[in-house]
Amino acid sequence: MNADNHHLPFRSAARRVRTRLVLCRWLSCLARTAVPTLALAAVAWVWLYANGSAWHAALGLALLGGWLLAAAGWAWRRRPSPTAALAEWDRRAGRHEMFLSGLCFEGKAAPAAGERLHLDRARPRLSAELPVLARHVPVRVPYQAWLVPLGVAALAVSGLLRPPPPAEDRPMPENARARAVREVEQLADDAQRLAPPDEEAPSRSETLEQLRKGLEQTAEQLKAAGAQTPREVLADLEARARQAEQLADQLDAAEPLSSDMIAELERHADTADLGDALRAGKPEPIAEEADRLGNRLKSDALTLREGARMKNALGRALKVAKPSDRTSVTGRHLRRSHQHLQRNRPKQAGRQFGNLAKHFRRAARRQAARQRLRQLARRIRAAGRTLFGKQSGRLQRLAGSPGGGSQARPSLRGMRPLPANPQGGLGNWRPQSGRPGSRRAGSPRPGRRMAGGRPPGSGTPVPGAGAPTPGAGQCAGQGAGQAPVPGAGQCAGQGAGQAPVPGTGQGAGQGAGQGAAGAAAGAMAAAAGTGGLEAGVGTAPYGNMATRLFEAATTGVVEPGARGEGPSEVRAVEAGPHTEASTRTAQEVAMEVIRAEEEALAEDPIPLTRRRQVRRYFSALRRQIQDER
Amino acid sequence: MNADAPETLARRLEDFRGQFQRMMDEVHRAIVGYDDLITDCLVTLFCQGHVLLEGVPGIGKTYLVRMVAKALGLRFGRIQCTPDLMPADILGTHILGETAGGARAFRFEKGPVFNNIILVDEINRATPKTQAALLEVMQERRVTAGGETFDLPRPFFVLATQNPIEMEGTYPLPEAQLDRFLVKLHVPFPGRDELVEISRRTTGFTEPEVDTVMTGEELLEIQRLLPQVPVADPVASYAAQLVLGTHPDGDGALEPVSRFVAYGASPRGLQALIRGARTYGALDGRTAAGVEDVQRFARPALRHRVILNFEGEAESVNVDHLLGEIIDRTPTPAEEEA
Repeated sequence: MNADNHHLPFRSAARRVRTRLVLCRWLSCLARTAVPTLALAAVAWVWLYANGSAWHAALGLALLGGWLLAAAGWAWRRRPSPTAALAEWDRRAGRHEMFLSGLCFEGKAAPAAGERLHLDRARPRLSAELPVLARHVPVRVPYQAWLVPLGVAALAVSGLLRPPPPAEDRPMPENARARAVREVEQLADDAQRLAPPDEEAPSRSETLEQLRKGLEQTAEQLKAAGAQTPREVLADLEARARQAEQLADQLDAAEPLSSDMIAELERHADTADLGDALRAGKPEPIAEEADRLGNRLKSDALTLREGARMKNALGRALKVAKPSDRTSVTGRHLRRSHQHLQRNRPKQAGRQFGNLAKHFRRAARRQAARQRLRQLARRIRAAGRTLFGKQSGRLQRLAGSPGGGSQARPSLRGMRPLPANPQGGLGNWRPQSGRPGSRRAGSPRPGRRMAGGRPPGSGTPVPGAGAPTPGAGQCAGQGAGQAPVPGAGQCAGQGAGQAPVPGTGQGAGQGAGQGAAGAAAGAMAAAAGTGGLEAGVGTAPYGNMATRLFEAATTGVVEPGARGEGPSEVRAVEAGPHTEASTRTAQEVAMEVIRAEEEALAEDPIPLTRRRQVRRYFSALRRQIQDER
Repeated sequence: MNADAPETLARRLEDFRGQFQRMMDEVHRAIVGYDDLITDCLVTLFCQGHVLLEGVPGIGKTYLVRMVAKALGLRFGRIQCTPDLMPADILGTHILGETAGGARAFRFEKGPVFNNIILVDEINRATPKTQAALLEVMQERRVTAGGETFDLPRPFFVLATQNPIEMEGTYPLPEAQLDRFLVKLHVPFPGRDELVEISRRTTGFTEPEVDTVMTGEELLEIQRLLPQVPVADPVASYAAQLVLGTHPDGDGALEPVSRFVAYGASPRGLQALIRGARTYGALDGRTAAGVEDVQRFARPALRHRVILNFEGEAESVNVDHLLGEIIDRTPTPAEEEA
């Protein structure tokens, strides 16, 4: 190398200059790409923040390293040749390719006199100027190049300041997971011990089997030592609890009789006890009373007077029966019994009462199964509270909300709000009042929630409770104009996931049920007939129906109703397509011009001395065409 | 000459710069202004090239040539071209005469081309036949007539002028003959200060005197000296790239070149560029030609070698502007990548 430097000084100088130029280009590239790189880092930071992650120092270092390497690769790829490097140095120093020529001449075996003269003059100058190469090819770090390291450092600091993720999003510790496994296994055993809820409906047994398998699967996942977070476990348990509640809700006992019909039965001495039992809504006493009446009718000791009284009582009761009463199981049995009595066949009438007793005994069994399922659901939720303490309530809401735990989303998606939560008896079909002068509190409607799952005054008439008016909830509650969102909690104290809906529903009373007023608002919205199917129109109905977008080719105009009330109107204004075209294209015009030129040239060879005139002619012609265009 | 020692070469180049400066000063005693024009003209003479001067009448083209010839101490001949000018009028002809012994014999009467510097005034007014004869002389530097060959005196230069505005009755030079001229120089109209100075110098009783500062032999020596100024390969490559850039069908031809140019410069153009660059480098006190020397000589050496097509002429494209764009967009050795 030293010998090379001595004999070929221009070549070694060229390598040195090239290295310096590559370094300059690298720094220049860093300066040019600093701002885009910093923007990329900011986007990554925002993306991480939005996904709940923190900015890692390793990510910042990787970004920094990638940036430096990419710029270095670009600079190396665009590196100048030794010749170009010396030429660049000559250019910057104003030497008129002196060293470049020296580089070319020094490699020759027998340089000419002029080349030797040039080398004799250029070499001393090279020796003098090589030490001050930095003056002409300075290597300075542009201030922009500092932006990225500083920015990455700032982002790293911001990552340190970011609070740690919430406990429910951290992986479960080993002891907590072991405890959760035990609890879930216990729940699976409880579900295993549940008898089939309804021997008449195999689908319900299958649903119960799915519930058992789901719990076992949850236990298996916990055992698998995966990085499950409490949020995911709780979301899974919540899904199982809701599955149990859904199954329980499918076990409705029987259709209710109207209050008038029950009142008519209570008015007669022979059927008064049956009427009382029906009003109480407990299936076992109803079955006993039906058995008693059936045995009495089937008894040989039945007198004609008793038979006539029974016929009269059933007849009067059937007279006030409503169509729904006539189609219900109880109503059908009573009607058939009455028909047999009319035909003087008391034994057959007694058998109808026997069948009615069997029906209510089955209902009693379903009711027991439903209670057990609800207990199981409560047990599952209690297990969550046991495992995760105070987090469970919030996590349960998170699991129930559309944006809840990521693992819970698929299982919870599409769930519909459960109907009212009667906690015992046949509350959801229980008549509210059978006494004269009392007013019914209205039939249960989907989406209506009672505080604590029990309508106030169930079984007890509430004088002056008011008619069911949209927006004015029957139930005690805090009317805040809130409608329950699909997937909201059904139990008292679980009214999460409720979104405020612009409405005016006001609940009466000071109860604790938040869902009542929301239901009222929802009912009002439904009664008003305003749907959410069109853009710009108020609320959307239940049921995950997405608001339709405007058609792309049309213009939507939303016009509110009179005085800003009532449904708004959407009309689409669509313009008809049309095309525009000139009579002649630019190409046609140009072709005409060219053709004219060619014809002029073809007609007569233009002497050179006339070329100026021809040129003027065509120039004028072109200007005219341009003016026309 | 190639065996000269570098020191000798350096001294001779130094002498050349002095002589050139003296010649410039001497010509400027008679000619007002026109620094670049006189420089280009003298550089062309030192490069053994012929000059085509283009300018309107009355701006001193002929006078410039006469003064240059006077400063060089060379024999000067003038040919005023007209349409009836015949080749024999400029080359010479055989005439019948008497020998010393009284016998009659044909002898060759040499024409005006047998001088060192020939001023061919309004060359485009001569017929193509006469133009061809003249241009053949320019290239061959000899005259053949009646089976005899006569060498022209050395040095031999032709400085032709043509008027660009009077095209009636003219015979524009064909492209092949234009190529014989090393450069084509535009003679601009003088400015106000120059005009005032011209009026002061030329309206007196006597004309300005110009002394001879260089002999023909010295000029020939300089012509042999200048080719020893080296040109590095990257610089020569840059000059070649410039010449290729004038061709419309070349790789990477510029859009205006493709559109307006019919034919680009010939290899003679490249030779002219290199020779001119050597001379300019030597005049600048350098020992090798550089990129700037090539760029400096590019317009005079290439402007008459770039032939516009019909569209270019119809659009009145300025060849100098076209060449400027080519020079600007051709990468120099410093701009070339690895």
